[in-house]
Parts: sequence; C-alpha cells; structure tokens
Amino acid sequence: MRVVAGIVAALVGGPMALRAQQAPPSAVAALPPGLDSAARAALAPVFARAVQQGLPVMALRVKAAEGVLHGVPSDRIVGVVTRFAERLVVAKAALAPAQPDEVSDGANALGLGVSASVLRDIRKRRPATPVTIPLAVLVQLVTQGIPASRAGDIVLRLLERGASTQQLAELPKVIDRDVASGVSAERALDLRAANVLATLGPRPLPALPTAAAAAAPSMPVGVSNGNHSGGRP
Amino acid sequence: MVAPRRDPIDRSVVARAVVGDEAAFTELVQWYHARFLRFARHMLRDDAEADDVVQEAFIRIYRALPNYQEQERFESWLFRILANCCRTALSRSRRRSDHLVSLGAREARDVYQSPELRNDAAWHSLLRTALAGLPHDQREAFVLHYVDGHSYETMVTLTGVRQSALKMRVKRACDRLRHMLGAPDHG
Amino acid sequence: MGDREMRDVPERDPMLALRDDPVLRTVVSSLREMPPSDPEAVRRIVRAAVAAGPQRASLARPWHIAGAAVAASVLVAAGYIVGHRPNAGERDRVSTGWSTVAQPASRVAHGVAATAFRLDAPAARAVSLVGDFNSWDPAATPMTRDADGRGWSVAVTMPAGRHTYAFVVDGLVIADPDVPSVRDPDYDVAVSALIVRER
Repeated sequence: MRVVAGIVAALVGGPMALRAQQAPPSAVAALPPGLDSAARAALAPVFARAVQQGLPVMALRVKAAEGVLHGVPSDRIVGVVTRFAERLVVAKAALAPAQPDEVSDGANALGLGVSASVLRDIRKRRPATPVTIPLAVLVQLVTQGIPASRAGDIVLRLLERGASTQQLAELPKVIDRDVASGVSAERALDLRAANVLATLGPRPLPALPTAAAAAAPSMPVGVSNGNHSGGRP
Repeated sequence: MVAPRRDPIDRSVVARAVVGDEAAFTELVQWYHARFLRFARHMLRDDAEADDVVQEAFIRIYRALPNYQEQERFESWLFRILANCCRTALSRSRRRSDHLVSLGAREARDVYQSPELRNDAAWHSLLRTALAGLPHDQREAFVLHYVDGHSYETMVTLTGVRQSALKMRVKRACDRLRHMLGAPDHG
Repeated sequence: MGDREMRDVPERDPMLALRDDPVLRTVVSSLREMPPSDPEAVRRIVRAAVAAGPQRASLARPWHIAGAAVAASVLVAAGYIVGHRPNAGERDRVSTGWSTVAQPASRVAHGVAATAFRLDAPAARAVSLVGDFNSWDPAATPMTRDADGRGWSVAVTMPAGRHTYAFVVDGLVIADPDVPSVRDPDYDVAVSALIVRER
C-alpha cells in the first residue's frame, strides 16, 4: 500500500515530492533557513546524496546559504548547489585522501576552470600534508584574473621546488598590490613567482666571492671554470 | 648617483595646510607620498603594512598640523611622525617579523652570491630580507641617513638620540648588511 | 614662487662615504628607488584624513536595500562607510589603517590566532560579519562598535585556507571596502576573500 501511495505521489507531485520524503533527517537539517519549499524539496536529495557519499554537507549548506543571503532566486540557488555537489564528488576523488575543506576548495577550483588533473598533481606533490593553502592560493589567483591553467602550472611548479605555505600564501597578496599599481595580474604572477623560484633549491652554492669580485660584481671569481653551475631560476 | 629625494615642499603650502586648507594638504600628500612609502616599505614587513602606516602617518599629520610651530624643519617633523608610526606598527607585529628574519639571512647569501639570480625581483626581495635582519634602531638610522639622505643633525632632532649613538647605529647597520650579503668585511 | 625652506641636505651626499664600498653602494642605490606615484592612494589618504579630522563626520542617510549586494564604493561615496585602500586578499591583522584605539593584530585562542575584522562605518546602527565560516548568517557574528565610535570590530577564529566574507551593515550586504573584491562565479556577486595561514 505504501509503495502504491509513493508511486501515486510521484505521478501527482512529481519526482521531487517522492525524494524529499526519503531524505534522511540529517540532510534535511543541514538545509539552511531562508529557502522556499520548492528549493528545499529540490535540494534535500542533493544533500542526502552528499551524506551518503561522505561529502562535506556543510560546504553545500554554506553554498546555499550564500545564495539566500544575497537574495538570489531559489531556482538559481538549486542549480548552483547541485552543480557544486557534482564538483565535490570529482574533487574528493582527485584529492584523495582529502579533508572536507580540501574537497570544498577543490570544488571551487574546478568551478573556476581548474582541471581535475591539476588537483591530482597537487595531491601527488603533497601526499602526506594538507593541501589547503595551495588550493586556497590557486583559487585566489584565478579569481584575481589569472587563467586557470596558468595558475595551476605556477602552483604546481612552486610545490615541486619546495615552496613553503608562507611563500605560497604571500603570492595573491603581492599580486593584488601589483595590480593596484597597474601591472596585469598575469605579469605580476610571472614576476613574483620567478622571484620565489629564484630563492628555492635545488641549487649548488657557488664559491664565496673574493675582494676583487666584490669590486666588480658582474665578474664572479668563484666560477673560474666558466661553468655557471647556478642554473636558471 | 641617485639623489635621495627632491626639495622640501614650498613653505607657502605648509602655511596653508597648517590653517586647514584641504587643497594644500593634498599637495603635501602628493609631494611626500612616494618618499613616505619608500621609508615605510624599508622599515616594515610588507608593502601592505607600509600602505597602512603611511596612511596613518598622514592622518596624524593632518590632525597635528595646527600644532606645527616651525621650531624645527618641517621634514624633520614629518618624518618623526612617520618613524613613530612605523615603530608602533612594528611593535604590534614583532613576533612575526622575527620569524621572517630567521628565514631570510640564510637565503640572502645564497641569492646574492649567484649572479644569474641577481635579477630585479630577486634582488629587491633579498634587500627586503636583509633590511628586516637589522635591529629596528639600526634599520631606521640607516634608512634615514643613507636612503632618505637626512643629515645627522636632522636625525638628532627627529629621533631624539644623540649623534654619536646614531653614527654607531648606521655603522653597525652597514656592517651587518655587508655581512648578510656575503661581502668581505670593511676596515 | 614662495621662498623654500632651507635645504636639509648634509654637506655632501652620504653616498660619497660609500666610495669604496660597492656592495653598499648598490644596496643604497636600489633602496633609493622611489615607488611609483599613486594618485588614487593620495586621494584616499586625503579623504580619510579629512574624514578623520576634528570635525564630526556627517551622518549620511542610511540605505535600506535588504539583502542586495551593493558595491562598497557606492557607500563610500555617500560617506556612509569609510573605505581606505585596496589591500591584499589576505588579512591577518586589523584592516583599516587608522584607529585611535590600540587594536591587537590578533588574539590567540587554543593556539590558533583569530582573524580580526574591522569596518569603518560611523553612521551604521548594526554591523555583522558573514562568511563561509558562519554559513553567511547575519545573526551569527555581530560586530561591536569601537570606543572611537567610528569602527566596528570582531575577531573570529577560522581554520587555515581561503575564506569568503562580507559585512552586513544595517541589513545591506557589502563586500569589504578595504580589499579588492572578487566576483563569486556561482552567484555573480562581489565578495571579499582572505587566506588564513596555518600557524
């Protein structure tokens, strides 16, 4: 009888009504206030699926709540949150094993055009430590106007060369300043990233300059075999 | 040789600013903004903080202008306010700048000794790090004297420190900078 | 042409003392480079100084557009909030450059430093902070008025990473006027972002 009632409800009220009844209480509770009933009905199954898949439901809540705050029409909120949930799935796989905030930032990165392979590569370069900051910097760089592929390249290169989280976190900050003084974001990134790369290893130390070298700094005496072993940054 | 700065601002502008002429104050900010920024950037951790402090200094200057009595050189008065703002900002964030210094000194030598790395961006980053490696008093004295070109007489009024002590701070700053940059010691 | 104050230059440029010191000569030459002039920064400074001056700030008529995101620059122009200068996307200290009250740059709770937020909004009646760290709930993190009567502050502990946020000023959602705002690609609204570092 219950099954028949369910089918009838589905025929009458549409698939949404059926699924809303089946969403677990925790998923429904995670829905933020301020959504109209249609949006709640549409998002409850999305949240429920996220719970089942071990995705960060709070991130979905936050995404929906942001739309509510800004007075976004509810059908748009539903679309945004649904697509975000799909990206969470991809991000979780690419960044495994991933913390909830890494998954969420990964989903934001994907939404900005960063590819899943970049996320995978980030994890490969930091298999045992959180990638929260590299992801945060990556997302921030793209929002500052750096093309997603370029931002991904740079972050990966910096990670490869052993840049610290402090060095990474500095980048968007100084780029903002450069942009404010009229430099394009991409050019600023090129310069600033080169700056950081220049201070990173691996790089053998050339010999100490002698007094003669100090007087004529462009002619380092220490590299007397003519081989500039320092390499390019 | 790059001159440290342009002339002091016209006295008539100062006189108008003292009595609250907003256009005159704007001229004053325009005249000194870059110099203030240069000083603050050398004294502080980063450019964003320097911006904050320069703005704070100009606001204090605006409020204090009615009290400027022309007993001392206007630029000495200006830079005292700016130097004090830098000092206050540094005392707020001292713990973190110490951390930066301990990272920097080691890297500085590496970059400077590799000529192919002495491109503009790396060099300026290196200088920033080396300056941060100086104790505040030495850095302030060095920047005031060599970078902004103040005479020791002005610096005495500006800092309230006697001349012999200021000269010692400058000398020590020079020695430390040379050491950090891997140059041989001077006599 | 008014008479100029007597030049305050030493008898000779201090650089002359570095004649035999090529390393320091290079250092000083580089350090003497002037930053580029920034007319926008000058304008902002003058506005901030005049607004902060001895005269009482004039109270602009409040805007009541509940829930709509409005460019902070509009409110700045109306004198409703005082914007200072675009800052970096990271904030780990008090955002505005001027305060007569000593503001701690951060407070430590459980070994994690809090992030301090401040908004200069003398005409506001109520200000709260919203962001991904409190589910954008305007009731979650009210800000308190500073002793100087102009600014509103709060410090929030949040985990390392990127966070987006905004202020709600008397029901109006605004991005932080002190940082360059970014466009949220999902909702196409202006938000502010910051990166909190691990400590």
